Amino acid sequence: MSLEHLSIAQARKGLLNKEFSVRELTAYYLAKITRQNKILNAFISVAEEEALKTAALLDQKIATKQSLGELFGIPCGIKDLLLVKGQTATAGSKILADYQAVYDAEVVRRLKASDAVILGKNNCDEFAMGSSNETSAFGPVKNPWNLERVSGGSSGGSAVAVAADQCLFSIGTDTGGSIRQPASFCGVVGFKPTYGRVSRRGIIAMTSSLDQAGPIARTVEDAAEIFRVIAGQDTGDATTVNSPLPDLGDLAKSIRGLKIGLPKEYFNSGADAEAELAVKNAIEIFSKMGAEIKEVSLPRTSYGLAVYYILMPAEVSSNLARYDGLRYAHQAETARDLEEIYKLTRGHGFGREVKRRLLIGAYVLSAGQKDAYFAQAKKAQKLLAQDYANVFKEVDILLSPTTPAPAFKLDEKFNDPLTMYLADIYTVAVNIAGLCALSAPAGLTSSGLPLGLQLIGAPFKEEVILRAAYHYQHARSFPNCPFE
Amino acid sequence: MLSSEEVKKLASLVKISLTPEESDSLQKDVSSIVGYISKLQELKLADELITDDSAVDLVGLRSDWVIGIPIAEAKNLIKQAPRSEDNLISTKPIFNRAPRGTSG
Repeated sequence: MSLEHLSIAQARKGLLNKEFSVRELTAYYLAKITRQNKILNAFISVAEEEALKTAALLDQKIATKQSLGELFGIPCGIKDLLLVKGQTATAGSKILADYQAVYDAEVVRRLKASDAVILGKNNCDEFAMGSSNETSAFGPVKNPWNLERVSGGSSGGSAVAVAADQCLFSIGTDTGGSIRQPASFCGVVGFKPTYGRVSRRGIIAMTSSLDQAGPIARTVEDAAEIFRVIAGQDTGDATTVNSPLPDLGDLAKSIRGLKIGLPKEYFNSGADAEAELAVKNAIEIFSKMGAEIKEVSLPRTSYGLAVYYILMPAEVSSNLARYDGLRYAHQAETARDLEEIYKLTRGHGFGREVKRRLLIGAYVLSAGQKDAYFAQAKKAQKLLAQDYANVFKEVDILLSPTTPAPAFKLDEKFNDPLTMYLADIYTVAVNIAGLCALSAPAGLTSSGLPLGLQLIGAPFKEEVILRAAYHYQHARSFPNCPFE
Repeated sequence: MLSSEEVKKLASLVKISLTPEESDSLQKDVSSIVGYISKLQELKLADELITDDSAVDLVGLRSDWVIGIPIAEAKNLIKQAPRSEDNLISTKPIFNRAPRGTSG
């Protein structure tokens, strides 16, 4: 049996039928990473020894007929923003280049308990701040569909690793689109659960009120399966909710009568013609399946990005205060006293995008500006959430392009941060309003670049978008990434 | 446009050293972003009524609480610090910094 481009279900079948062992499957992905990483740079570190050791233990488990976890023998990558005990946790930053995690993130603990095999840590934008993976201190990640293009970000390494068949899935994080946008750029499925579904314990914080981990996978079924493993309340994260997990048992259940909303403001905002066409094609597919399509209005959509770029840097400036040169591995050697330790360590350790956001955060929270920016943004956030709540009284899900355009060229927007931020226009409001959303592959442009379709759901209605995405995925074919 | 003095003040607030080149380019970047986010001032929020509390609750900040961690884990955390002494993180002097170029 070929090991190329397997889904989790196919890999599980092969393992249970003894067509290949966990060790063979793990070795296949490790070899691919070794071969491709110099070009794609999707992994910052690879835990080869540990992964093979785990694989051998799991093979023993199946040989001795022990009970097997839900993700038994499934090799995965982990965005380097999550702690994996004993492995480096860099967050894509020079300031944490030598930092070793001393405990597992709750998501990682759950994956290990479900018998998944962790291959290593995926490259990402520094502290998850970026939309192109170019801010990583460990170099940019290249898009396997076109090596001159960005992977997207901030979970760029995760999306590329899945697209290039270096692992069966990866865990990313999404604060304003960081799972969905790279998934869209790389032609894979990216799923951001509702805030509060998945524990943030052991995830290096960027914007605590918006950050949420989720899967990047090859299929919707795979994403649903991973979600089932990682979701649930955690006493180590007080913001996780005690809400029952949705029933994901029958994604194939008909979507006849599903009410789909098209926010009119999303279609007058300068998206590429090909990105809009992909959504129109999806509308046709859903209509044929018996879904009801309806235009809806989200009147304050155009303010979403401004709200995000106030709230996010405000929390960034607070969360990153902990990198003081005292508690973590890196400290500026030339510093002579405490004040210099702070300033020089942070000055040397942080990259330009992080510094940019720290300054904006300090500005919007400063005594003279707080009411005009931060307080105003908090109020606007409530109104945006209210707009969505009103729309979800009329429809079950919303559709939009995931991004206004396919992957852009490396360096094209790197020195123009505002243009880079505008690439997040369709994704940020989902986080601000506390919703769930998924990006599914929606076709290729005429130049062969993937496009994504975003399905947005009401809070804690993950099963509705997963079911709709499942039907969409099965109604149209999408090619595997040809990169070898 | 933010002045270079304002950028220096912000850098001092967030405790980062900036090279002159960084300072110049960040002055330009931050000014352009502040210009963009200022569009939020157009939104007349005082006139808006927030009627749906359930939507508001979903995005309200919720508090974290502290849980204990095993001693061994705490020791390992301290080992990650660049300097430690007797299981405590240590630092260079906090007070009495001598100006650069002088001794004592």
